[in-house]
Amino acid sequence: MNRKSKISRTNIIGYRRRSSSKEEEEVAAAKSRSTLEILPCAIVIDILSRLPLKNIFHCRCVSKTWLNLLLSPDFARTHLMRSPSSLLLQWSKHRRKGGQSLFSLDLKATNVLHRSARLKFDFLLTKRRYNLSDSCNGLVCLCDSVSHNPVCILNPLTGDYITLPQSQRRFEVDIPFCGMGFCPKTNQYKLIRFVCRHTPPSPLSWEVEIFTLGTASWRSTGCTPKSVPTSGYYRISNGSLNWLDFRLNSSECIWSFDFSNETVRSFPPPPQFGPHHEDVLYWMRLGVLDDCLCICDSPSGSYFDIWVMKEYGVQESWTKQFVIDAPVLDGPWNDYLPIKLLNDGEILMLQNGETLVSYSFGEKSVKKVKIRGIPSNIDAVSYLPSFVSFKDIAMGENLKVLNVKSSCADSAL
Amino acid sequence: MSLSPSTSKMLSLKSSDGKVLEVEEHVAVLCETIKSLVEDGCADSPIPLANVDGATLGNVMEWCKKHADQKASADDLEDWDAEFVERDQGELYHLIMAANYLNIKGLLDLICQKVADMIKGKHPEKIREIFNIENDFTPEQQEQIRKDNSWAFE
Repeated sequence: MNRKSKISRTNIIGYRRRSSSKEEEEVAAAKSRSTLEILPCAIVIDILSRLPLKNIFHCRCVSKTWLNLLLSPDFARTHLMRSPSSLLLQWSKHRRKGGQSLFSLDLKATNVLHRSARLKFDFLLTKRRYNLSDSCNGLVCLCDSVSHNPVCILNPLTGDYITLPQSQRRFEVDIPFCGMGFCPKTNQYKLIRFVCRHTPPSPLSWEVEIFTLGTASWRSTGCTPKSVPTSGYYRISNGSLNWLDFRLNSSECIWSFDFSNETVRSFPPPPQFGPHHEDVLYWMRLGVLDDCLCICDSPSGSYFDIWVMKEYGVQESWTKQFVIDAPVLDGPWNDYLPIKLLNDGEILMLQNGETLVSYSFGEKSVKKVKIRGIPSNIDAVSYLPSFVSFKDIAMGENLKVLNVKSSCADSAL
Repeated sequence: MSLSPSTSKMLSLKSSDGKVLEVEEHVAVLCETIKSLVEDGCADSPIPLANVDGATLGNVMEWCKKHADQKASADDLEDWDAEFVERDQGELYHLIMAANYLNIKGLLDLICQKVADMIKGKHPEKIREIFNIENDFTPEQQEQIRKDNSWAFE
């Protein structure tokens, strides 16, 4: 390529000698600068946003101009649009001395299991242990492992984090998780949690509390849903937090909290679902496949159907897309959460909420996925690696951005 | 207005250096900029394209012609594109500028990806060398930035 460039420059110099007018000389001079400098910033950003994460950090060291482009909000926005959907993993049982690690697994990689498809983030916030709660556009919400209170929001890629205020309200029962969503209309990031007040003899009543990034405190939405999700059994799709609940009304058993208008609604499952599904709810999982909500259902306990809702909220769009015909791995009655279709006729799933497995449609067999450096028992959330900066997404007086100097590395150690 | 090949007429495009290129309308309208002119009925006389030189315009129309060919299969186009982007950097940048000006998303994507592939997997020194980029960090800044991003070099 170098040699070719030199040849082209020589040609242009020849052209310059022949040209007489000043204007022509200027055109030729512009042509001879065969560097990326002739391209507008927006296009250089477009090009750099296509690189793997590791290369983006290499490019930060090339020049001041590139460094500034890579730190700009425009780059974060462009990169986020094509950021590869990934899975963020955390040890579910172990406690490591000196810090905590998160692993990111690039689900768009040609080979998901190759070391180039994963990154490891090491960080030490405090001596307490935090659990992975949820993630949205590269930001990760961490909860205290004992109290389950959401503690901070971290961007593991940049190391920036903000601490969260405690809710001033006292509730008898909290559901130990925190859902995180983005409202494109207002450009706001929101955390929600479900809290319960129980003052006998009144029945239990649930309420949605919300925290908008950049504000000072949690607030009540006034939304009092009849159904609430349980930890680990909800999925974010289409700007909503979704969960399954057959107990109230089996014909409208998919519940959804919309992050924009802050309301809860319910909609129907596949029309083929009958009352018997109430009994097998325990083995049913709501997942997201290729941006569509899906249900992994086990009508008999001996095989699994994966239903995909092609158009969000539309009952007619439910399609039985896959059958998983290998129910027995480590004993019967496992549940499977579909994560990603792999290229070679396999589907990546989370078994019983803690073990990565893959199912081969051809061989009709399930096998554990062993990733070097990552333990088999894990917590996992969907993750979109991003360079989103708190300063750009939450213009508030109450925003104090800290940095943990987290370090990233290939996870194959 | 119908833009199908059977009814396609010829359009004249005039480059910045005064070269006039005769192109079938159904090929030229792959450029959104030209398509708008055609749809607004402003494409009668030679269309002046002040930001695209003759050689680059020729290359752009070669790409449009291939991609307007409805007989070409996806695999065929992919192979053809891979060969099309084998050019020196100067030509690639002019193609990017032209694709941007003429608003041809497919071509812009193709060339941007090609340049990204040229950067992929390379260390800063090599990137500076290949793309003729000046290192404007002071030695102190250079040391700090390498330290901050050291994990990526392990």
